[in-house]
Amino acid sequence: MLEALLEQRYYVAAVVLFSIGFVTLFLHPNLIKKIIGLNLMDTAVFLFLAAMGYVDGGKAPIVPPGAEAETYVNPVPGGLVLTGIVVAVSTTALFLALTHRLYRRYHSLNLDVILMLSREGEEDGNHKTA
Amino acid sequence: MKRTDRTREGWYERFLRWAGGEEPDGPEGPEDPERQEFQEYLEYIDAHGYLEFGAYRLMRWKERKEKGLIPDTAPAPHHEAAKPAQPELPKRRPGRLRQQVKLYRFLSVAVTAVLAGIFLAVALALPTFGDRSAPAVNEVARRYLEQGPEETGAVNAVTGMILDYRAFDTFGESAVLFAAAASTILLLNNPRRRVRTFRGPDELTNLLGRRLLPVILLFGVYIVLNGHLSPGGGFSGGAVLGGGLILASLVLGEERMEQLLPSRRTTRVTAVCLLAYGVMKGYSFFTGGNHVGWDVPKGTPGELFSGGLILPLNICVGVIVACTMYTFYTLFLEGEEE
Amino acid sequence: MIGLEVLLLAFLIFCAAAAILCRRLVSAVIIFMAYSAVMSLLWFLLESPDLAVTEAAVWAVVISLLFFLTLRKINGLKGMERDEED
Repeated sequence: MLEALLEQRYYVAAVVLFSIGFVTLFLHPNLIKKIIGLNLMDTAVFLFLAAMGYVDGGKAPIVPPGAEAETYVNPVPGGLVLTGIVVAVSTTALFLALTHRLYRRYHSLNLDVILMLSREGEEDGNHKTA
Repeated sequence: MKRTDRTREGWYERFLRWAGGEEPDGPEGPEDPERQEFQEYLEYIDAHGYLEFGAYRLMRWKERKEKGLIPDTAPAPHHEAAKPAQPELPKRRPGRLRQQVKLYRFLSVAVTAVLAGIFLAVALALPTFGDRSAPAVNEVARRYLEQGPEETGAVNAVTGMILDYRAFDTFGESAVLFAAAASTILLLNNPRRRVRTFRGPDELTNLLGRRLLPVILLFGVYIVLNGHLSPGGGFSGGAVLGGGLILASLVLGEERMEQLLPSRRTTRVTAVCLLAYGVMKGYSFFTGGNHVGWDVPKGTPGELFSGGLILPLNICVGVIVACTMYTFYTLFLEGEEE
Repeated sequence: MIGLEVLLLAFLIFCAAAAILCRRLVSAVIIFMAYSAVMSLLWFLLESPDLAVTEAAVWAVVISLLFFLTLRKINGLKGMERDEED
């Protein structure tokens, strides 16, 4: 068992990181922590993919023409992850901007408090229009 | 909708000014109820430790409601009037919510544990890490590695892949970046709060930054230009360049940077680069999926001017990424008020 | 080699848990920076230098900076409060 865990160390670490991020999304009320949790999930998936592309004794895929394919790692996951990282960054920036707007409106980062305040705001709005 | 937003902001700004210790004047006299409430809040956090203002208001309001100080028709926090008592409120049993919260916590932990267990079982059943005969290392990777230099002209297989074989994918990624920057601009841009206060760099930033800045920018340019020859490419080099621009804004000051690189210009440059990318890669639409039939000269693999369109595409992607990172920075910096 | 990798992975998991569990948001973001730096090191070990450069530039610099700026804006009201000093 321990042998297998050591053998698949990257996959196991990716699973653990993913679970940490996932449970944070559920349980932590703070929005900034939720965003960090989401980033943890992102990086866990990237780590998993990059580990899939590794082959024993392979070198980085800088290939002079006519070289043997056996001596290099798999470039496909690298390309996927590379673009994924940049997209993850832009979504994170978007989440942070939304968080800032929420904070300006409700003066709180705590999701529970925000939900309560917004419910009261809705009732108030209904009353005004009625 | 817009109007309430504006008043809310005004309120926030006033709080910031009061927090800075500004004396009340005019209509914001000491008898201003908002100012009084704010003073109480300051005293409260001095006595009890920090609490967010929203949470504080909610707590105060609940307290007063429980004491019966305010009838149920009294205003809720933030608002002038509230509905009469909720019909469904008394129906809730007191312990009910706590139970639900407990159940929620238990369920979320259980779901995560089950998921993690499944993932772990799958991970242990996967082909061994680093195995050469794993199905992930199939003919696709072999083709990219063996034929890549001749077909794309790029020595770096990753760049050759994302900017030639899968260039449409990358076009989509760049569009996503642009869309994210655009929505962040919509969310955060506020022309009324253009005023920025910049205190000037401190000595250490000045000393280190001025020496590091050219090196970082040069390194970014190097990574972008050599994307097809060495590790890197548009995305990595663009990120380094973006970091360099942020450092430049820290060292030179935001006013100077605003003159050198106004936000209007970065948006325009990004759009132009995106269009250029689309035009350069759009010919595949006409020549078929394999872009056969219209050969861009590939050059000798390993030289700087080789790889056909990869170099200009890399420059486009690099500029898009750098501008987006810098735009994010300026947007998040705006509205600083001390 | 395996020992180094296991050490780095364990540090990664430790950083993730610490970033989630620690109370102050500023420390959480700093721990997250350390996490990204270690992650880029791991990608060097996985022979993907492209990823390592991008990760180091993007996550450890740009994203952390955005987090810091957001925190600074959000702490606008917290600024005058004495016990939270960064």
